[in-house]
Amino acid sequence: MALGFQPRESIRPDGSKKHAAVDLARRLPGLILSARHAAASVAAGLHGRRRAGMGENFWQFRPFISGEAAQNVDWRRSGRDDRLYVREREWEAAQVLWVWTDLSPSMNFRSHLAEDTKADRALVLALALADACVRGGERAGWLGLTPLFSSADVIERLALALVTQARRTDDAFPDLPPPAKVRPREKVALIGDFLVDSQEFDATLARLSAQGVSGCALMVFDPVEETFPFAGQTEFFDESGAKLRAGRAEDFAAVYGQKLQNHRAALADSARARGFAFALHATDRPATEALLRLRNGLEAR
Amino acid sequence: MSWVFASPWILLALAGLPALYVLLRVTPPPPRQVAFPPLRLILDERRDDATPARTPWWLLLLRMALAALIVLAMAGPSLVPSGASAGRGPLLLLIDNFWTAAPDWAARQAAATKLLDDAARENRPAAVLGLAEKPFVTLEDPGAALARLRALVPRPWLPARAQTLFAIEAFLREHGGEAAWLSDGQQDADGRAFAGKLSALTPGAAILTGDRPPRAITGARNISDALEIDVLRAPNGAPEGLVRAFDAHGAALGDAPFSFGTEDRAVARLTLPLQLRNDVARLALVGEASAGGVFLLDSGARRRRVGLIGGAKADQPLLSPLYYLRKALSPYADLREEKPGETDPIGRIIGEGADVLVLADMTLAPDAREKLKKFLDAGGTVVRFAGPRLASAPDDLLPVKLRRGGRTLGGALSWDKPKTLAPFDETSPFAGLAPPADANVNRQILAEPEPGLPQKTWARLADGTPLVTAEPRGAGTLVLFHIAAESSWSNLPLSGLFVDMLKKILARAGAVGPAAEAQAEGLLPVLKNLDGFGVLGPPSAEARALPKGDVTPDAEHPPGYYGSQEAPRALNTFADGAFKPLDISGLNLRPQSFAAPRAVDLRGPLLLAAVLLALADAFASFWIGGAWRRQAAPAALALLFILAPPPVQAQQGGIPSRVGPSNSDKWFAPALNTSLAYVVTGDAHADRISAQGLKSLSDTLSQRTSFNPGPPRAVDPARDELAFYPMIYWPVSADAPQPSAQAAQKIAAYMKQGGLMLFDTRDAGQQYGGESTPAQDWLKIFLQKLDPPPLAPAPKNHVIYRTFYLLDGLAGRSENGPTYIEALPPETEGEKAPARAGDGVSPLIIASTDLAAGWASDQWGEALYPGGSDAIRTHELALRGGVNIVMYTLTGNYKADQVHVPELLERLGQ
Repeated sequence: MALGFQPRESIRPDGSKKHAAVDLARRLPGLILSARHAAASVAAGLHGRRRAGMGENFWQFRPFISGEAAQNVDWRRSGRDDRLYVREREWEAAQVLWVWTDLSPSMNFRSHLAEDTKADRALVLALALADACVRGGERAGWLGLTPLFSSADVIERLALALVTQARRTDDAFPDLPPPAKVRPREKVALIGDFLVDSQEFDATLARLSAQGVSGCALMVFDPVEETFPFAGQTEFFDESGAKLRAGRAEDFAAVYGQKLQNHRAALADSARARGFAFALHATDRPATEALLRLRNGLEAR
Repeated sequence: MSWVFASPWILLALAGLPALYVLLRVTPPPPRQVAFPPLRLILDERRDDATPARTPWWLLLLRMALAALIVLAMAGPSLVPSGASAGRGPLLLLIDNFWTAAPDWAARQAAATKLLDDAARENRPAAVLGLAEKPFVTLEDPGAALARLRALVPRPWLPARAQTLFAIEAFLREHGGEAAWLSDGQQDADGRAFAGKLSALTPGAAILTGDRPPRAITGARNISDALEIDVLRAPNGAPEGLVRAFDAHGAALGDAPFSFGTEDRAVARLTLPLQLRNDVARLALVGEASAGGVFLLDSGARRRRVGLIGGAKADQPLLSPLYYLRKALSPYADLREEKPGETDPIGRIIGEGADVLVLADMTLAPDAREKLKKFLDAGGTVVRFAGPRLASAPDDLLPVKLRRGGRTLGGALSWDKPKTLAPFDETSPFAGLAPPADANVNRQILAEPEPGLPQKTWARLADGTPLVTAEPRGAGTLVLFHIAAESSWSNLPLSGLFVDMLKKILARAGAVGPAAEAQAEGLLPVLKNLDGFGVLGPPSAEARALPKGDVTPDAEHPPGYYGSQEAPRALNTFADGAFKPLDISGLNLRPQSFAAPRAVDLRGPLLLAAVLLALADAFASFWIGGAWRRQAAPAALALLFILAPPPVQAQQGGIPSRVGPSNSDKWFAPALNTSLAYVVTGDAHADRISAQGLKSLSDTLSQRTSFNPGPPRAVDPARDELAFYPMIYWPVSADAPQPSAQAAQKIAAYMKQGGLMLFDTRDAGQQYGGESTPAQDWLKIFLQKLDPPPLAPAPKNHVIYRTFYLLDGLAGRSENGPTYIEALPPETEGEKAPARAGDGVSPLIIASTDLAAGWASDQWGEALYPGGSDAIRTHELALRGGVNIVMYTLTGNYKADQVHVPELLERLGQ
């Protein structure tokens, strides 16, 4: 994979438009595998409510208690015996996790210090998180894009939806989650580099918070975005085409470090104020680390 | 010092430098492009003043200098020392290619080549003329002139430069230009005259002389107990030297040192037994590769065995004819004399192998005459002297008929005065000798006038009467002196002429037997010629037959052997004379030495500087681009390491420290595992072959024998400990310097304590006749320091051919070649031992077949350096020989003792 900004269409999980199917076969398994692998390590800790309650799946038969509504009797089971039984269903935690990943061009970047682009890492994390939720008996969906899924092939479904969306929008994805319909007490996991104005970020979180959801925001960054290992005569450019010519790039290191710290502090403050957890993840670190952070952030609320 | 440009018009390109300056200033080096998503965070920090819009001034300077250097280099500059080059026009190179120039011929060629190179760089045509060649000069381009120069070889005769002057004059008149004369620095015949004419033709012509004035052997005398060799040097020549004597087959017979002291002539005395002295065919100055440094000896130089038989014995020695003959001949001949009271002195002396019989006045018995006639038929020379007896009773063993009585001149009863000698005829063997004015003859016997008498006459008196007559008889010659051998008839026996005449007769006397002087008369055909370097070779194409008499060597009569194969006559390069340095004072010539500074071509250094600047520019660009710290720095450091000279070995030349950990490691490994070793000769190619050869030999030993040697090791005898190695292989290279005395001591000690040195001269097939090859010479000098045991060619049943395989010889890359090993005790009579060995292991083996190259094989066992007609077989034989050598080294004479096992067993059984 080349360094720097990647081709625009590589944001999709499937790859180029022409060879969508082939690339999907090539690319998705990798993502899925790494997602499953990451999810397997946290599945046990995320969900522990194995008890009777409201739900759709059979849980257990229990003796009929007098005074109970007669309609609760499971006549098929009771017919085999002299006693009356009630069919109990498993209590389904009404927990819902919306995942969302920033797939804007600025995420589509990899430096020589990292192995993946930020987008790839974020996508893997989002899919893994969704998979982990479904395995934990909860439901997951892509914020603003898909309904909630609880089937085991949630990763494939989400990936398919993303590919479809990428084709529809010509690989243009927003920097921040668009307004979407969510219910109160649902959880949201936002993964992205959040290289946006902190006001916009705050506005988005405020909107989500107003809808009654809480969750976690994970800021994914490339190592060079933190260490700023540049020196000498350098011309910087970003995905929007903006350029900065530095006679001595090392002169900018301190300024940049300060700016980055301020930006992160602003984001963290905003997240805390809106009931969100805020975490950082560098792409040169293992993905499981980020997944744990996300889980912690989601469970704490 | 002055600057010269080969193509000065290229310097115009320097005018383009300002344009380059402008161009470089407006195009600064491009910055590094870096993608950086969070750019918007610092986008408002844009600082225009921090971006260099222009190239830094020092980089600009660097690049300008780079461009200027390249332009300068293209213009072909050279730094010419003042006075080296006169300048324009064709260059005429005059080269003394006589034998006097041969000793430093390579330096002359190099100097001439350099002059031609200079001419080529300046685009000047050139011409080359060897002054000993035909006077024919053409103007050529320097390349063709260089080819002509390479073809020049020194000629074995003395300079006669005058004949070339007209060609030089014609050339200079037609083309102009300047001349350079590579002179031998000697006056020779006409050096000053030639120099004068040359300075008149081209004032300021360069004259280049070397610093090795010639030396020559001017003569050799076979005196009673030694061969005296006259050596001549030019003034300021080497003060001492060595004359080496060779026989007809080229084997060295002995060396005779000489030292000039303050004189320019010296005499070297070669003390050898007479028989060996008579075998000497060639004398050569060691280290003087010129025809003048070689002296050829023919049969004339052989020391004759002369019988003196003198009839009556006089009471007073000064009246005895034999006294004068003995005095005259003893320095030049081996004398045999009649003993008192002997019955048949003639028969005895002929039987002792005399070549010349000198008979003083005596009457001959008939049986003695028969013996003398047989002696004459066999090629002997009989010299008879007159006297009262012969005058009274002439016999038939005389070249002319004699008148009875004889003739008295200037006596009391005679009107005539004593007669002096007439000058010798051209045809006479005495031609060239000058009769002294005071030699006169009082009495003589007269020849009967008859037809043919003038042809028989070798010397005559002033009035024409024959004094010495001679006649060929059979293969020999019968000579009669018409005077007595003592001073009563003539005072000739008292003069030096008498000695010279006898010497001429001795020189003319052939050997007794079929090898007699067959061509007494006429021209002598060419047999062999010396070339300018003093190497005897086939006749030169221009050589003509040699007339009799004294001939000065020239193009038509180059020095060498003439006449018949059996009794050749030697014509030597430098009969006599003296060297006189060439005097050019007062002439308009520029004297120079071969080693004088020449024009220095600056193209290479300039281009090198340009490359270095380009490298510096690349680094600077890296530095500006900011990549220095991350990738370029390690790369640049690596590059610096590659460019840097290898680290100097700390131990080199110093005293080896015996306690360092590296040293003990170095010594532990060979001590723990026996391995073969080879000596590092300094010749990388030979060392690689040694390593490869010993490696494959070690592998072969591991496969085929129970000996598992470690990897072969390279040793430096001066520094490394040798005690660990059973055998050390030393490929001898004649070019290598002789090892230091310290190394020789260590090797001698190694050989004494049981080690085996395996020298390999690698010259099998190059040994012709008895001449030793350069590698053998090198080894001979070296072995003198080693106290070697007596060596002999290894006999076929030597145990070294029996230790593992049964072999006939030690094959290497070539299959056959002599192998020398410590001489064995003589074989006991009647014993036919299948294997013989001395006590212990020979400390020294000298092979010649390039063993290591024969052993060397690649990883698949194929010969790396295939040799011989059947490479596979030769390789296998070489390896077998190597296995045998190592087994011999390790087991000694064990295999020879094994031979006796059956007998021992038999004895045990009894």
